[in-house]
Amino acid sequence: MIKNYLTLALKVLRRKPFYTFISLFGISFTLMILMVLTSLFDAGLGKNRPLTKRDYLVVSPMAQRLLTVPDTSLIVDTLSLADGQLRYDTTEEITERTVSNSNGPMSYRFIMDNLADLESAERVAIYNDGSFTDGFIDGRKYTFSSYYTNADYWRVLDFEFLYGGPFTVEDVEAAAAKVVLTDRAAREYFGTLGPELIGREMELGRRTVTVAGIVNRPLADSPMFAGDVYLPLTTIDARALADTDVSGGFSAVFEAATPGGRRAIKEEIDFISANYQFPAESNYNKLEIMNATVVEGYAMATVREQDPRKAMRILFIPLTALILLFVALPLINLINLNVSRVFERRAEIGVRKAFGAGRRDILLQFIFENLVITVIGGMIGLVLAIGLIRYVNANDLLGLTRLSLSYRVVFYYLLVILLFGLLSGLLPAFRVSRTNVATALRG
Amino acid sequence: MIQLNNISKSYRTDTIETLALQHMNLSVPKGEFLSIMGPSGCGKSTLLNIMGLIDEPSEGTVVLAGREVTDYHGSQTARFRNEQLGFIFQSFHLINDLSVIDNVELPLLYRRVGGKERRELAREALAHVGLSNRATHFPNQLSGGQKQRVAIARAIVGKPNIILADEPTGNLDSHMGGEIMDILTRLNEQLGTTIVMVTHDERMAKRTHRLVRLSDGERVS
Amino acid sequence: MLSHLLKLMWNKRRANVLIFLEILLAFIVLFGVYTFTLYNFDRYRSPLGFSYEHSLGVRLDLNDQLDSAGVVEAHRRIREEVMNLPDVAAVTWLGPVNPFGGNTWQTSNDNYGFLISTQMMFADEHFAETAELSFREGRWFDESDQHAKYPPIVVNAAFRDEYFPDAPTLIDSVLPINGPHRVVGVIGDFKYQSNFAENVPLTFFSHADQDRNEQPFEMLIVRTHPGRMAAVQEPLYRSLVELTKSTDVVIWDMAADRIKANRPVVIPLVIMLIISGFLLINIALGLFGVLFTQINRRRAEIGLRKAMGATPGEITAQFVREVLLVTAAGLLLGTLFAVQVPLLELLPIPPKYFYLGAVAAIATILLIVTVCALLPSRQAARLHPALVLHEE
Repeated sequence: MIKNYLTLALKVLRRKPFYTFISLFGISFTLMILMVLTSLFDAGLGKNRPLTKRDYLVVSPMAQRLLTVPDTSLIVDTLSLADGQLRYDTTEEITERTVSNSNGPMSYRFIMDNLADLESAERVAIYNDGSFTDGFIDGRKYTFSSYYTNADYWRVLDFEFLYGGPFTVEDVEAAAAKVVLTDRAAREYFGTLGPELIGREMELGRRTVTVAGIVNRPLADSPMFAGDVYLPLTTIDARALADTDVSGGFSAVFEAATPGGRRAIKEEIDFISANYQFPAESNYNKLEIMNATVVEGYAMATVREQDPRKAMRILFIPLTALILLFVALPLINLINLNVSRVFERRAEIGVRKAFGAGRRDILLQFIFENLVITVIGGMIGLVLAIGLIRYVNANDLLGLTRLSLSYRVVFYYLLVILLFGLLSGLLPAFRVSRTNVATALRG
Repeated sequence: MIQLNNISKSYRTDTIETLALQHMNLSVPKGEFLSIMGPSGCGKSTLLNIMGLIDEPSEGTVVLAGREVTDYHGSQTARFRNEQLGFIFQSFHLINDLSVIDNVELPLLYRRVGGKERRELAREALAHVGLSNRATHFPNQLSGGQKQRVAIARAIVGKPNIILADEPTGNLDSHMGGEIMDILTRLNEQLGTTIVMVTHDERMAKRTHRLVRLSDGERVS
Repeated sequence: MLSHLLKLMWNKRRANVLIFLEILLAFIVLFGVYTFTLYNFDRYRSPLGFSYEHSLGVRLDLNDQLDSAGVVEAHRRIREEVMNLPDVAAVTWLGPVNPFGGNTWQTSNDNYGFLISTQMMFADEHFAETAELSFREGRWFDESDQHAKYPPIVVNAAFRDEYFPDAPTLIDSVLPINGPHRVVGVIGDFKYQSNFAENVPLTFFSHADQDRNEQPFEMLIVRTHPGRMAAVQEPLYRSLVELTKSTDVVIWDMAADRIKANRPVVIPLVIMLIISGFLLINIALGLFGVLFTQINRRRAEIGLRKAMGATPGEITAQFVREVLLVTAAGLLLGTLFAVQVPLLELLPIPPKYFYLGAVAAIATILLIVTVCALLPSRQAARLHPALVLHEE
């Protein structure tokens, strides 16, 4: 039966090339875009390395310092004249008004003194992402984004090491002149990529460092891991380590034991923020240490909004609406086309019913036919999408971000195809199956 | 074989109700070749559709093969149509997107018959109407007479006990019409298939066992 | 005639509802895309007002221990050394805000009775010649202004046009912007964030306004001779590392930086245009297919109308009008939604772009629908009445 439906579907498609073209065009293009979008979001938000522990992490990229003053407002509710005397009722409201604020990454000392030993966190990655290093090799300039990290950084974020490995706790304690670099940085500096680079020396600024490991460059350009070279944080400028101010150049990522454990970490951080005492001479009197899940952090960075919940709303509500709109148009187009084509085949349906096809047979036949064309269109879309993703990645068209092309993306994509096929076939098929045989056959 | 008891059928449009059949009683014994005649709009096609269970009477009962039909839309009825009935239409109603042999196979699709056996049965049916050499053609490559022969092959491929033919010769010239009648007569005589045929043509009607005349939804003979 | 058409439309509402929905959604998409595109295109048209093609941006780290005099001396010496490098045409020091750098300083006050809000940039005496600015009136600040009673400022054309459109001249006016400042020059158009930035009031402040040892100028713009930019970079880097005794020297190509700064608009814009282009093709093809079958289904009606004396032109016009009526209904509802956006001020974009966007979307959809309806209608209208009537 299935085989028969299949041959029939293919025959129908072949004999109506114009409609087939229109349908395939719409389906393949729509699905291609969906695939590329899925891939874009998977690159930024998926559990790709080094974010395999995505659901265990709480990011804390910055802290906000505020100066607030109490703000008293007096509102006159009612006014009345009684016995020649003016009487009035008022409401007095005291709120907090922010006079000035400043936000940015934190200092190393602040993190070590306040956040390094959270009870609810398994471990914490600390990194400084503020600096660039320029250099020249044979007259060719390179600019490396330099990260200074602690040793746990490599455990919290599981980079894919192509060669060698990370620097260790001892390396960090000893301020060892070791470096981990990305494949791209290695190729740019050494001109080659291979295991022989481990142990080689390279000049960074005025320092000579030894290559400890080479990692695969992550897909996304998240500020958590956008470095080209990674050095032990103890090798940073001594002033940066000694600074006792709240603000500095460092950020933290906490790892919980379970995804549910993230809540405890966030609460603990909020508690620390609320009870933080600024020194008397400080210009600020209130502290907010940002803490968010990876997804919230992504939304916050994308829409530049500091409140995690608001950021999620600003990013995902319009985005969902936009995608729905984008999918709805081709879908309606396809339904419209299918419904009007169904009319052409009323006689066929009448005959099938006369010869014993039940409603279910007809419904199945038309849904199946639609699935066949959707799957063909989907495959074309898949090929187009893979081509497009390769092209975008090869030319770095999106800046640092590259699109991911994993089995997971393809799997999501296949689900989308099925859904698309079912949705666009259901209404027309339903209408067809209700065709009245006697009137359909009358002509 | 077929028994219609006090059948009435009315069509309701927005404002008026038209009566297509009034209190019709008719019984067709097994193996009979019956023809129905009458002027345009007398209810012949409606009668045939009701016998074929593709239309529902407003009143009265239909008894087919000794069983009263109650549910006209369920899957049991679809099964019954598939196994017991074969249809032939004035305008052939072949599916243009399918080749001749695929058209003939159609009724077998809705029962559990393997692909090979389907092909076999369809070839047999096509041979029966003398169109073996046209199996891979498409309907629009055939003449009117050939199309109707394909339609007959489709009607008989499932070996039904009853064939319902709605003016099978209406769109054909008298020579081709004669050929179609030959085939139907042979079916009736050789396989004992019960045939009910609606026609306009006295000459065709004369070649059947019995003639029923309708006028304004009522039997007049 | 209209009521006849309306009746037809209503009787076929089930067939029309999908077309209606499609038109409505297409309008919403196009409305958004056109508004966004027009708005950005308009901003792109206003010039940046400075040269960047052969310029390098430089960020370096001056020794924190330097006092004011030390900073002045370091600035002088570094600029002199850089000027002496081969192929360097001009050099200027820059404060914390740099072109295409992604940050903005803004100040506003209403001390003198009306609100003056302006972006701020900080530069030394050589910025005008380095960035090749054009002047409406006056000049750039020079050494002599540093010791004048009021520190000097230079404003851009947008500043003047926004706040003092009627003043015969602004030169030597003393304006209360972060304290009293004397205007020494008015330059032409100037915006620096990206090509898609708005051309808004902007004020340049000199060294005189920056606390030299707290926040010394630590950026440079180095304009090279055309085509020599790559060659300058290495000697520039080495000489700066030598001069500052620090490897915290970052050099970038301003032209490349401009492209990067435009990206947040260009990438979504290109993606939107490509997607909506394909959506339009998709809709046009689909509509064509649907109308083709719908009109062909009515061959008998066409035959009948022709038999009763309708000309092919009348038949075509009738079909097109029918489709346009459904379209108009969809567009009307869409427009009702669309005008809410500027009326309720839901987005910080001037209203005129929304109206232009709506008009452009309506025009596009009407054009597509007319073409898609015209082709099958004309084909059907040419049918011979006897032929179609016979088919039935």
